[in-house]
Amino acid sequence: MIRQLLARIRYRRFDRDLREELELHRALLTRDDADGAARAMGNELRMRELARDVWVRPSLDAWLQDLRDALRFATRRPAFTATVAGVLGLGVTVSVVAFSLLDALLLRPLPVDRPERLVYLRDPSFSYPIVREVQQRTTVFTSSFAWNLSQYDVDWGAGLQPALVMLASSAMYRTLGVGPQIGRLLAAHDDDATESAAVGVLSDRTWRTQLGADAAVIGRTVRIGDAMVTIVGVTPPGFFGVSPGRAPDITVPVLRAPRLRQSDRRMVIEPFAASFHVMARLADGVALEQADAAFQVAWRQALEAVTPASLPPQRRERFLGRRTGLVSAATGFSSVRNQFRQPLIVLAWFAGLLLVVTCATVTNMLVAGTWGRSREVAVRVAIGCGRMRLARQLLIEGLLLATGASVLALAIAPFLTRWLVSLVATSDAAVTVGWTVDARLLAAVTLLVVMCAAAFSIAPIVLALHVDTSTALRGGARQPAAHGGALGRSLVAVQIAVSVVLLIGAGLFTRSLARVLSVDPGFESRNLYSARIAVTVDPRAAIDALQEERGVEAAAVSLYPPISDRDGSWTQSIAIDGAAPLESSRFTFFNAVSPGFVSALRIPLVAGRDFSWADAAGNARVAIVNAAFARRFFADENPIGHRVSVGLDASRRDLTIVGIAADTRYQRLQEERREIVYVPLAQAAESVGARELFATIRARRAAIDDAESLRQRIAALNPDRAVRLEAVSDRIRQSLVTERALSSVALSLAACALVLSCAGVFGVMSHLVSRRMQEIGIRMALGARAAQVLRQMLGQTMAIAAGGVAIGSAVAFASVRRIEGLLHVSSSDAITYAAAAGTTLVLAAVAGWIPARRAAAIAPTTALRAD
Amino acid sequence: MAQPPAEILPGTLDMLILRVLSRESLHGYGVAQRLQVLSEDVLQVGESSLYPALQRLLLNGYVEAEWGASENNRRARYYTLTAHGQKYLASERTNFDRYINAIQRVLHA
Repeated sequence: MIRQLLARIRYRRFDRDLREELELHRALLTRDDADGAARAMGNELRMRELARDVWVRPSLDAWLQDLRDALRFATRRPAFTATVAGVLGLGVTVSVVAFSLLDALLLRPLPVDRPERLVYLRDPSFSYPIVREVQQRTTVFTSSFAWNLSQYDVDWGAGLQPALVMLASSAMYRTLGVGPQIGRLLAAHDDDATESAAVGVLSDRTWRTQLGADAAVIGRTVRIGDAMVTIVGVTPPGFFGVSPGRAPDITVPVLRAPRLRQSDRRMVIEPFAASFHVMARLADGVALEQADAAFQVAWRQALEAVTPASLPPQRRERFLGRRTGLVSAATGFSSVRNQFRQPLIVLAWFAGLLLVVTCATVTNMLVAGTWGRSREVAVRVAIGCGRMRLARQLLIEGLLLATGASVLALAIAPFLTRWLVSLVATSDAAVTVGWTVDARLLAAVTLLVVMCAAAFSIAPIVLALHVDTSTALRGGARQPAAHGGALGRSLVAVQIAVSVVLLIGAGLFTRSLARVLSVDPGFESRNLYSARIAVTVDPRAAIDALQEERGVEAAAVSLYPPISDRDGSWTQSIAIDGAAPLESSRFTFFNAVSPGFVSALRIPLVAGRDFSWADAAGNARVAIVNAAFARRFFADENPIGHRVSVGLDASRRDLTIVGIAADTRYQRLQEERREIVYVPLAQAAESVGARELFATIRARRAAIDDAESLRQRIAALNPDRAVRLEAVSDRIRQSLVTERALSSVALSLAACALVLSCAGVFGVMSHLVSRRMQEIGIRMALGARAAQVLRQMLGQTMAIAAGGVAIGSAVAFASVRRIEGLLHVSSSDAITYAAAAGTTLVLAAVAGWIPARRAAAIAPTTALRAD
Repeated sequence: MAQPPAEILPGTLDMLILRVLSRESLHGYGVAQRLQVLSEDVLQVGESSLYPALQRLLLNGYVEAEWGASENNRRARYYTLTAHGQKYLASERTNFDRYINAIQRVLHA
């Protein structure tokens, strides 16, 4: 094969040599035998070809010839080619993007040394003391590390801005087998003394975007939270830690956490905090099951070691009962992945279905194209072109189209990816997935190209092989009608069916979003803003300061803002009136609030009173509960005056219920109704290791008068943090990123599919009309009325569309169960099904109506005169 | 009048060329001449079979080609038998002898 290719390349020289040799032959022949020369003067060209064929097998030549033909054919009809490639490009782009995201977040192994030997601890968050114990007791790991990703405000030199900081043991780089790009990475001594200088390792991306890829960055300090951190090195490009989609900007040793944020001290000393994930590299030759068995022993010992003997037996039992195990970490560990796994799989399905629709569209276009070429095909067959060769040529044309489409796709995909990521990334939760072209992606694209080409070339090939040579040569406009017509109609039915499936999916997502958005949060979110303030600020002073602002009607301070979403939640198990604690699976949600919180949010107070400043630290402990809490624990009784007990034994506190507030949503709109207990901020301080507080501000008008002055005031209340003043309605929107992204992506894809299907209906019906022109003409000449013709043609359209809708609805009904977890409406929501079917039928009717009108307008005389 | 030249038996041309080349290096025309002479004008090979056959032999490595000067001082490609070709020729000859003998036996039986 290689020799053949070489010969091809050297063909010119080869041919020249051969010709020279031949001339000599002739010259000598003429000298020796003048008569014989004339006789032997055969077909020189033929001889040269034969000689060459020895080297270059004809097949290769023919392939290249076919490729040339295909290219010529494609460029001869640029509009047709562009349309086909464009339609196909649309389908391929979406598939490529879906694959790229799926691969980046779910499938691709970590770009580190032998990722298949990495494991992480399931059930995934642990305290640092327990991690240390496990590390000391486990022998099946060559090394292991703890890490955690959290958002801090970092000043790279141009003001505070949110950044993702990774806290990690220095062993991380050794475990992953990663070296520095410049400077050094974390070393063992960074793990030890808590008091030594804080150091950090930059990611390549941050080094480039924030610090201008300056090599002199080593030794420079940046401010992270409360601490100045010295940069000691930069990780190599391509290394993003261990969490796909959550690449840290900077990595700091675990034990420096308290210096960054005082409140994080608990995180590294408290044995039952759940702050760190653990990853490890298995020792050589140890299988995962073996390692897990050994690990279980170490795990139990570690639990024994950290659980204080002084704990009451019941609690001790519970702590000791905690289980975990080793899980392969070849593809890393990522919260982003967990959040988007299901939506991504849905995206992949949608993309696949859209690809089916585009392939069907392309098939129909190519089939129509083949009809147009039946004359050409017939000529070729008649002059001896083998049917196999013909099939091959059509396949090559298909491959060429698919290749063109994939080039288009690769050009568009980066933008589409960016758009998709921007849909789900929010200011406080960056999603670091970009568009990268690698071998895996190219392999996927190639596979896609071959699959598509094979799928949509089959029909034209079959058709071409059945071209009736004699009829076609005679110039008959009559085409292989019956066969192709049925094919076209069934393809359109398939397109409609798939579109209906997509529409139903998109409809369900959209209805879910609408349903969630229509949920009453229980407070008035209009004109309501929230802002972070420092935990050290006196709430009363903060409220007074904020209320001095002109546009502010009311202000309050709380531990968690309305719709806390990513800012978290505080849950406790409780007991009523000192009864035994409820070992219920459902925790009660708590929020610590200042007086005026309930009224600032306009949460109706059902009974009792709001907190006052008199409910201070030393005074009687009080609580306000919500209506759901009252219903669950007191039924018809009046809860006011009863006590809620939190904590156990020595740390137990009894809170007297003084008020009942209406129900509100705590973390998200889509959550179940929760039992909520409010406690006065002043009485909660010691039980909560708060990092920050939130001021909730009710503005007099939608736009805050003099927002800049308000921002300055907030900055004064929160000197060490970037100002984050946001409308609560924006918080609500951000808490719905997944829902919103799913809905808009699904709707876009469904719309594409629907447009393509309608184009398919239009194309097939137009074709049908032009083929039956004569027949319709005759019928009209015999007295058929235009309305009858119109009805008949429209009837055909609707038969196809109805078939497609029926199949599509059935398929959707059978498969939507899989996405139930993403929905907030029933997966068999009748309105969605009806709307999808109705939309499709109406649009199909419109698409079919245009050719039907044309059929009805046929003048019998013109139709009869044609051919 | 002499009898018309015979067609070369299919599959034997390569062997014949190799045999001719086993004595000396020749250019294409020389090969054809030598074949004609050795067969006493019975075997005549046309250029349309000769040159493809030579290319085939080159491809298989049975002969080597080298450009040299011909008798009329033009550039000519001379073909030389290789060791590989020698071996191939020997085995072909054995096969062919067996084949011809078999045919003879049948015809004279």
